[in-house]
Amino acid sequence: MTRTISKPKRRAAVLISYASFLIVAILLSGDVKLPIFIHIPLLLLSAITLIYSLYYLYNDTQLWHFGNAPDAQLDERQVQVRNRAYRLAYTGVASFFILIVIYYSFAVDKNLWIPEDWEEANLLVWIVIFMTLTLPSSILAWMEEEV
Amino acid sequence: METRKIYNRIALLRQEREVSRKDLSEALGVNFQTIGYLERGEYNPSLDLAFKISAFFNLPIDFIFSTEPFKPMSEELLNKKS
Repeated sequence: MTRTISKPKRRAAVLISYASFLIVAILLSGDVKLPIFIHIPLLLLSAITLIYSLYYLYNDTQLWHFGNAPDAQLDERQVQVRNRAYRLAYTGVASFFILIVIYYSFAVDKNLWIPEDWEEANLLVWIVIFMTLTLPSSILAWMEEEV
Repeated sequence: METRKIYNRIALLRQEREVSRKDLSEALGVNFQTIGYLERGEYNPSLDLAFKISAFFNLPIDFIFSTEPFKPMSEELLNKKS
């Protein structure tokens, strides 16, 4: 992984990518009704920001390679760092699922909101897909030290 | 499990022999950033990597690595003379 990009910049890119993903997902889910002249530009701006931040994060820092390369292409330290990122990502995604299950079990009893069809559930599904795909590399970008 | 800090003379030996991090990393088969981690003592190498480093510098492994901080080279030379 190249270190030409400083840690604060990498962390900012992680935050921007997650924030812009959330905005895109919420706007596409249709749960938020905004005037069309705000909705479309905001959606486009967020989508462009999301794509650029992911490109910046994964291409410029080579995190995509680091996070997904087979062991043979990494040295012993990189394998350790990547395995740690996977462990943390697994903990993050598993915790998210556990929270959903806990919420669901309470929501049934307390008559709270529960998604009843794809329209209502797709935001949650996209969040899980995005987290699963990006979390290991995002953790690497967040935690790797400077040279 | 708490790991002990391993001190090393890699940076000193590399500078003395005018070897770049990139050249050393290529000779050892590791990423050049891993050399930085080793030099700063932020990563303890495996026994295999430690032997490779020892072979590269053609020096005994305990001359390069130690569990105690190294004394300055000048002090060690002075102690040898006296």
